[in-house]
Amino acid sequence: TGGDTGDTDDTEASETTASEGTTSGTTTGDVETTDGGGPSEGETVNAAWVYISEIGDLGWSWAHDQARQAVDEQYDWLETEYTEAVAPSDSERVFEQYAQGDVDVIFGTTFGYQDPMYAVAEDYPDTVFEHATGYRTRENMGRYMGRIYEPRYLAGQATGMVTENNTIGYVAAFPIPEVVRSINAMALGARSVNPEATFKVRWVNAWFDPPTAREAANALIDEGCDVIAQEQDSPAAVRAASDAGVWTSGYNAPMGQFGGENYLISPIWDWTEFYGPTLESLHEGSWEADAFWGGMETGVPMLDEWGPNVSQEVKDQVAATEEQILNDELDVWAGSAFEGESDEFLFQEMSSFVEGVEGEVPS
Amino acid sequence: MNVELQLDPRRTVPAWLAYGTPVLTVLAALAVGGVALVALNVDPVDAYGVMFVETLTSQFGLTEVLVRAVPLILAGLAVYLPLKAGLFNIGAEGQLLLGALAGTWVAVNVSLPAVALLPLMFLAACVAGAFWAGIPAWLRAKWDVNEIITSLLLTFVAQELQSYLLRGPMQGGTGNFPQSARFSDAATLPPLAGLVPGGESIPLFADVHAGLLVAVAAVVATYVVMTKTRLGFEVTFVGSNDEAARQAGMSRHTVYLFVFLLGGAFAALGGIAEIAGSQGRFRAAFAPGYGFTAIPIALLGRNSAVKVTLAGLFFAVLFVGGSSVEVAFGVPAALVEIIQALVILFLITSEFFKRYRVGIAFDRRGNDAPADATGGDARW
Repeated sequence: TGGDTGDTDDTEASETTASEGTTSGTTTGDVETTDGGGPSEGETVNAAWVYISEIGDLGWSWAHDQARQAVDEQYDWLETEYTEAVAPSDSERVFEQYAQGDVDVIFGTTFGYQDPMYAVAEDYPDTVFEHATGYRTRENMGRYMGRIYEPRYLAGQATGMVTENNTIGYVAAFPIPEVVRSINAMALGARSVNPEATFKVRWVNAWFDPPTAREAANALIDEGCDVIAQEQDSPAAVRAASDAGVWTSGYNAPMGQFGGENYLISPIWDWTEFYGPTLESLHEGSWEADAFWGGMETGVPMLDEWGPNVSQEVKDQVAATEEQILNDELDVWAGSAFEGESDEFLFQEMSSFVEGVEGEVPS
Repeated sequence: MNVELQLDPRRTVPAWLAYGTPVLTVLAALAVGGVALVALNVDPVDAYGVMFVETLTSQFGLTEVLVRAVPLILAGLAVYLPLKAGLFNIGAEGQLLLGALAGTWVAVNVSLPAVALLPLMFLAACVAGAFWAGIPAWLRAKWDVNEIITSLLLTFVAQELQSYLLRGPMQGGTGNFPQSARFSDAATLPPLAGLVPGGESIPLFADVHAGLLVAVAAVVATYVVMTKTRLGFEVTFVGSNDEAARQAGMSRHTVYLFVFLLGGAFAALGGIAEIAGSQGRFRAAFAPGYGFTAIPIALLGRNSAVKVTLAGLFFAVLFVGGSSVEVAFGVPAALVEIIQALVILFLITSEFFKRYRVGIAFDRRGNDAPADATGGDARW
């Protein structure tokens, strides 16, 4: 394997000055909101987001863009812009273009941007880079992700309680650790309340491919799954489940409107809780490259609202477990093959299913 | 009143038409696209300034255009060559992927110095691409199986093969991500600067990889073969009238195989050059449809390899400039795609008017004739 691992976590405190340098050098003059409130020591921060799919995907990119709009609204000293539907193979050019302009910080929000962003970060040491879902960092490049496996576990409990066939279908994106981790957490959650529950997984091999996701969901339903969960950037699988009249749980963004009568609940993101503090630290000149992997206590990974027909029993069970997670009384991985594994392992090396998930992770 | 439309193929295309059409049609397409820009409160003049002027006048823009043009030109040739023989290679994308896979396999499994490794990678890519293109060619030559369908469907096979290999035997790097191991320095195409005499003094050459030389060589080779050799003549002859060619003793079989094998090899070079020159590792979905964009490139450039090159460069400008517009103005990605599609649509439509003289005749006698002669037609 390549020289990737060596680059992880080699970050130390030397970054503060670099980010201060950019914030001051470039952005005065052309911005209308600098005279507003907010912390006044720092200058305007120009931030750019790069998304893999269109923000209308109603999923992953949508959630990031909601947070962008929220922080843009919140801070007078912040100017934001974004580019959507950027393929990883094209992203290097987009990062470079932003870095050449007066952008102080670039957020890249898909795993595939990791290497291109790293390469551009090397060439533009005065610009701050933040990469979501990856594992490489350098002094001017941080990474961030949330422990979505916690709300996954909770949603998994709901699926385990409603399934009658004890068969839950999972429409998955790529067989990479990020996705495998979520499947495992959901299965562990389901089996914590229903030891008979099993998961069947279908790989779409795309983050955003609504027709294939729909097909995969229908195939799973045909095989007897009476609950459909998914890791996709679109709500297509949820919609397919709703059409077929089976229970469903989504991902990324509130998907109740697509799940209809049989909607359970979805693990979703509120990235405002990451972007806000990160941008504030940039504004104050205290930003440092680090690896953010916050759990539900940070407010980044969370659950959306319950569907209309979920029983109180399910809601109470999930609420009780959520309380345990928030109080740090429950480790999702306890009792599984991954109990006691390091964060590094959980984050980038988990590549097999827990008991209760059919088949093997393709490799 | 009857309106008669008459289409006459033009024997010769007047020079003003030949050169004026592309320019005017691009302007017309941009004008239509401008409506959408105005609707989004973006000044179209500013936007097009970024898209074309800034892209073509900044070093960053030009570098990106040249890098992007390498796979586009090579894949364009892969469609162009069969087109000369009257065949449609819709599967350049698959040939490109196969080339990238074979080249990557060599790159990550063979350790040799760059002088030996790079040629070996490119050779492996050529063989794989030619093989993949050879299947539809052979089926067409031998059994008359429609090459449009076979070449297209083989692209899907190639995509699945890529999926399998990048998740299985060729998967590399940390953590089960669908990508190959990173290429060593020896397997990476160097920038042009070090290869061309005096290259250091040309600013563009610092960032444009040597794949550009491969593309230029392929264009020159195609041009020479098509214009200076007997085989090239036979290709054109078979493409114009394969029955006459057969009677003249030319082998359709040979010509079909030749254009597809060479075309497939070119597409494959585009794939491995993109990876070894610009990506650094084979990532699933590294190619955003170069092989499909190659089809309009070849249609626009079908008169010569040089025009394929120009068309490839033009599409590279469209893509790079379009992406700049997105970044600079924050417009939706779909809008840029619409503008690109409008340009393609307008250009291809204009080709039609370039090739045919359109006559419109108004037949006034229809009005003078008794009403039942036209209106109460009893033949139905």
